[in-house]
Amino acid sequence: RILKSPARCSSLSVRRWYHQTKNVFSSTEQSYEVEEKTSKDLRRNEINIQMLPNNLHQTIFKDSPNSLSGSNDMKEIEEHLTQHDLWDRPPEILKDIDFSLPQLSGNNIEEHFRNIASEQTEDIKQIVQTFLNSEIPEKPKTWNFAKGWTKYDKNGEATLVDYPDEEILIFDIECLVKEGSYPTMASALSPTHWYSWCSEYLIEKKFRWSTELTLTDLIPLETKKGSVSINNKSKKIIIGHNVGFDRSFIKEQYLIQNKKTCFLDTMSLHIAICGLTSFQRILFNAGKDSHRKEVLEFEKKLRQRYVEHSTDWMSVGTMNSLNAVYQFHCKDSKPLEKEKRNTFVVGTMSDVRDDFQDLLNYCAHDVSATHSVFSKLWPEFLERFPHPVTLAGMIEMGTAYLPINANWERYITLSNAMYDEIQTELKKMLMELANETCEMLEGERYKNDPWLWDLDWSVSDYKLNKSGNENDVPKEDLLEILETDDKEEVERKTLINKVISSKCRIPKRPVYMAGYPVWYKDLCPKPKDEDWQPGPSLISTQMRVVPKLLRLTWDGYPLHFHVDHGWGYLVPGHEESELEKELKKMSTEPIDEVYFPLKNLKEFVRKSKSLDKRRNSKANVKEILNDVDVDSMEPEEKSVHWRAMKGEQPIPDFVFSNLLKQHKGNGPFDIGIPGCLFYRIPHKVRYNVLVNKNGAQNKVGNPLAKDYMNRIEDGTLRAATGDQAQRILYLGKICSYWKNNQERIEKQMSVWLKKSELPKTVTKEEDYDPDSQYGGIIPRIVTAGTVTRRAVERTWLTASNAYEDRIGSELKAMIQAPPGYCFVGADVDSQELWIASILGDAYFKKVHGCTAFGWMTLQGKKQDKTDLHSKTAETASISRDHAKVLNYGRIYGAGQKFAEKLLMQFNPKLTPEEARKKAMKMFISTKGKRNQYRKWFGGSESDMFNALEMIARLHEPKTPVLGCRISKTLEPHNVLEDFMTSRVNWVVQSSAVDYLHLMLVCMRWLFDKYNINGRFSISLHDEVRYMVCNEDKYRAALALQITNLLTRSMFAYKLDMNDLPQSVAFFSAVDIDQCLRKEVTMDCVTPSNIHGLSKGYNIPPGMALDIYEILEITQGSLLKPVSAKDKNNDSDSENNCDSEEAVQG
Amino acid sequence: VVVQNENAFPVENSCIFESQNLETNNNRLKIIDSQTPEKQLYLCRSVSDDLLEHYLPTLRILDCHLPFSLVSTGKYYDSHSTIKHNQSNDHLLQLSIEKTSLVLQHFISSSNMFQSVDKWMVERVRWWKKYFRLPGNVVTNDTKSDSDELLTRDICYKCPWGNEVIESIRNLGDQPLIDLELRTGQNCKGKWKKKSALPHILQLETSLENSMTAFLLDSYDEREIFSTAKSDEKQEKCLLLLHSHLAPYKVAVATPINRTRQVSLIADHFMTELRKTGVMVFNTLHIENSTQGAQFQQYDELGIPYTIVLNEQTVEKGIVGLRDRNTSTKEQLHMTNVIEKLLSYIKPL
Repeated sequence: RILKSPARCSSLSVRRWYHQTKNVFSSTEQSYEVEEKTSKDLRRNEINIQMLPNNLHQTIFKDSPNSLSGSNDMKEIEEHLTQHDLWDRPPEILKDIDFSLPQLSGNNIEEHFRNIASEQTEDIKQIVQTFLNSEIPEKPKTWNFAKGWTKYDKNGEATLVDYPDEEILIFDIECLVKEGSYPTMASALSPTHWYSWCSEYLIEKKFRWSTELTLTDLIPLETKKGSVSINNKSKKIIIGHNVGFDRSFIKEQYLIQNKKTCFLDTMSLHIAICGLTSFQRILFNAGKDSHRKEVLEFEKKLRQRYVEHSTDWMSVGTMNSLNAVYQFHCKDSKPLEKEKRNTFVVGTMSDVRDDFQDLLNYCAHDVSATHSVFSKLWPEFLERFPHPVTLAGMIEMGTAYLPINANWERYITLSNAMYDEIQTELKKMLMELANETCEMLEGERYKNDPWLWDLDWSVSDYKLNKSGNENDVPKEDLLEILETDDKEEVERKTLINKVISSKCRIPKRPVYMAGYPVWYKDLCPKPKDEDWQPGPSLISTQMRVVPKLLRLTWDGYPLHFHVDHGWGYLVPGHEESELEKELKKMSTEPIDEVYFPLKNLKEFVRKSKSLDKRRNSKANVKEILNDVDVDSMEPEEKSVHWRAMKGEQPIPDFVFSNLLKQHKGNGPFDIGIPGCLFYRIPHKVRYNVLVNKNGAQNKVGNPLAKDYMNRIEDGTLRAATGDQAQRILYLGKICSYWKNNQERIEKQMSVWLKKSELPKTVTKEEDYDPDSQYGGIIPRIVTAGTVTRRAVERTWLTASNAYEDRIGSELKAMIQAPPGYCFVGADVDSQELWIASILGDAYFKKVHGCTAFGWMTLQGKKQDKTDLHSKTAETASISRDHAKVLNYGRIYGAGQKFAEKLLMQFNPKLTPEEARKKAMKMFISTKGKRNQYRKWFGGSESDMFNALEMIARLHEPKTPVLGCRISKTLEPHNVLEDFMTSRVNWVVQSSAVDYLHLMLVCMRWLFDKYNINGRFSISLHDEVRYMVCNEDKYRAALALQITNLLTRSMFAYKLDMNDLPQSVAFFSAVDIDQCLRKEVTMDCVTPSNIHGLSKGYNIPPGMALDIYEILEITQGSLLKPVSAKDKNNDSDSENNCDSEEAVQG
Repeated sequence: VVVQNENAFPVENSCIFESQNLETNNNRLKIIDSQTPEKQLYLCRSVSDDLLEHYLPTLRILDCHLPFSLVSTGKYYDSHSTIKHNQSNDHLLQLSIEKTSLVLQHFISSSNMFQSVDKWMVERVRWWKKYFRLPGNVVTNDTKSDSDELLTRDICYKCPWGNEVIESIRNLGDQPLIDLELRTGQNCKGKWKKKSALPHILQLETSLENSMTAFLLDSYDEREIFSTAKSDEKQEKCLLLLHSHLAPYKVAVATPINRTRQVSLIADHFMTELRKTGVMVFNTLHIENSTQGAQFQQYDELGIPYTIVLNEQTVEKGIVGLRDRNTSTKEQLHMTNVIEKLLSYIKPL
């Protein structure tokens, strides 16, 4: 039944089919290797956690001994878990899994990974070594001004070639900013030759008709002009500084077929070896007398601690630019002449032509510099990152590829259209608001408005000069008095002419828009402006006047802007004390007092507060009457209060003053407004691993900015004028994503492929449309862009998920597999939590789940409230989602102060004292306390933190799994006690990078070994996506599951825990999907995608398969299934991927 | 829409047909039994159906080259709608039998249909929103027809009683042309990109009555001046905030109560000068005993965007106020600059 299923049916019908068959299986009890075993046969560890089944355990860990804990140890574990109420919980029973793993190469899992990674990198290392040993040729004296590639031999003689046919190249391209994303020139260096490349638009004065990029615009490195067939069988190595950028200009990189070219990035090597953290970069650039807040705070902290600290790190690392790296690693080098670069930034094509020799020299000089840098970095890299998996993983990471189709441009068009539409609407509404506000001018009504009172309402009148020469008025402006005119007509014309004649008294520069208040005039463009239009069209939500016009309130109080404090709000109720009144009386000088409509403010607050109460009357009745003795009231008096509660009447005086007294907030400040106190709007708490910012001290930029969206949603920030204003806020929110991302999304280089440039796998598909577009984007990834060696890229690695109210946030889903392909990928389930917890377990008793933190990660269940987030939620009595934020913050090194701030942000009603207590309680139960040896104890995470700190404090900190050294700039002897948060964080995050590299290497191995037609597409930190030929998607899914199993086993093995809990052995789901998205069922509905993916883009939901489903479909085998036809004919199965009868699963 | 299309052909539309061919008259409303029984008079029941009759002649004119568009405007009579909507009183406008519509049929390749519908939708929504005071009330609505592929997208205005369709963008597919081929026996295929195929029809249709209602509703505003003071001081006024391009009268002249003869003469002068520029001026000079405030209120209610305000100062110094309905504020200008300024405010961008 399985074998006969047609290969071509859409994924949707496969899914349906699959569910039918699944039922058949279970009813006939005909299960392939998936079968239920009685719980007796299950392997369990000392604390009753289900481990890998015997067969898998045998294959992976062989007979490596399991470090058994003694009975003493068991006692300690029991005590610890009991303390956290986790001991002796009923075990969860998972269905058993049994299938045969591929044969591992080597005696243990470590050797296996070492072997397969070596296989992938050995020839690369060899080629590189040969290159470094050879003497490089001298740079040619003159460069050949010819289109395409030129090869220079030792004598500088030039020959035109199709492409540099070399195993290894150092490569650099330059592109002219004004031209757009087209390469203009490039140079390359091999062990034997120099090369140069020029665009035909540089050589011939051609006009670029189309802005669409095609392969012919790009630089070929492996193919002849007009061809896409790659002949070289061996690997090809391209080295460059930030080579991910140069890669996006190379022709062959856009072809879907997998290729053998790999890229080595000197910038990544540099960052891995001795890069700076972003905070270190600030300090590094700050110099001695910096006034940057972060620097000052850091210095203050250092002084307070009275411990020795070191600035040695400044001499072992540097910034990332080629110039900085070059001068740092090659001590005798002269600085690169970066001024030449300006031509490419601001110049035109003819400027480049005029200075061709110098500019190519500059380009070639960068190549030489890269060569010198690479020669220094390479040996050091191999020494500090000895495991071959690291190199292999980085190389694989550098082959990322994002397929797109016609929907890409449609997405950009629709997003822009929706954005423009909403911007227009927004502007229209704001303009109307400003227009309406003008009416307050009449009778100076603005004076009584607590928002508008301090705008500049001054009005200047239109004035004529005292005198003027009437002869200056041109005759044709005047009415001509004709002889035929009767007396009345003459009188009329004379009068009009007299009035017109006053024209000569018009001053040279008459008052513009006389009669309008100054604040309004500021919003109107001047008539000479290029895009002049009538009305206050300059208005935008960024302007300071807008929150005033909208009459925004914070918690019911009017917003006010103060020069020193930024945005805040005014709370009435600051009564003058007797003393102040006395003083005022005594003072003989007239007091220059600010006029402020205090009465109106009070009136307003009373009204808005009583409305507030009506909104949530139940909860607040008690609160308001908190300090009032209700029982002792006369019935009449009581009814006054109750009516007030119901909002029928303004709140009575004493309740009102009580309310004001009870107000808590960031303040108060006396800013000189009589009878009012000023409170700052709380700044959104942001956690920065590097600087523990004290949020409350920051000035607030704009209450209409993105940061306050949540406050608008929960009603804390509200517009007193009603719906229209609320809509303005809403529209601003809708636009925020596209506003911030539009530029970089539109700048993505999308290259379109012709039919002949696409593989047959694509063009033979039924849904391939020759009139449509297919192409790709090469994400410009820095493979190790941070000190933790995480990859960095601005658009894709930071892409958010789709939100219903964010234009353009469906970005990721616009990466869509071409016909015949799909994405196979998975998220590593709570990757960093697991890494942290297994380090803790290993530190404590080397038993999986022996620490409370470990146990919760492995066995915690939402429904029992035994998982980490539920536990924290319980301790701090907050929601589980909020607890999640707190937990991750804490594990990444955030302190108690940060937790307090967060708690107050989650619940603005919490007092600082309450928040402090809550945070402390949470910290004691999780992180624990420090003992006299500065070790943590008593908390569920104490051992985890001890483990991380121990590694971070080692003489030579290394990641536990692949032995990768920390950046020199964070090594203890260079920083002593500083940057501890970054260093602790490094242990986990860098291990997560090891995890990713292990996965990439393992997948490559399985793809090669089992001939799975697919390639790496992209990895978003804890998520990997592969682009796989439809026929092979289930095998790729199985490969991913095996990869996860082996990767986690490698972690366990390296930590001396030769076993793995089954609950983490496999991905909870592998996604098989047409596009990139968080969940296969997400329809990514946004304002720019109102119809959703399935209706609007014709992309059906994908499949999310767990290990049991995958095993059923593939029967646990990675081998390509043999088709019926092949079985009959016994012919070779080489081409069955193309054959019509190819089978599924 | 027409301007943006290559090869758009305007089609004259008559609401009464004289015809003998019964088959094509199925969808028409028979009104008069004329004396001669072989001749019948019919009322047009849909502008779009009749437009299709012009497909073949136009195709021949263009030597079968696609794409092209047909466009028509006119009245049609629909007695069905009265019955259909009688139950719910919601769609008040549907009650009238006589309707006016503007129709454009675009004959294009089916492979572009998806993008074309998108493109026109974006384009048309933007156009409508430009003229509405509350563009947020312009909403879109999708209705799928019975067959899965054909989609109608409506642009609606949110009226108090529900959404009124002001324009619909409809993918008619190729069925109408298949029918036409059957009926006429003529080849309806057109050529593009060297291929010959039946085009698909993308139809844009607007109702004049619905649009008018929407604009009136949109522009009517009872403006309450926001005040934090006690409620007895509350002020309210009515405005018709028509877009200045739509307002029939662009400007009026206001004079002080008991105006002098000199002021009257200047007012006359403005009337004359303004009419010379082609701007519609609302003449109220015959009203003598009304305060300026009352005049402003009247003009605001009439939807006149600008008022030229004259007073005694005008006679002395030539200074005139140009009052903007939106801000209720008078911009002071010299008499000789007023008209130029006004024209710059109301000219289409």
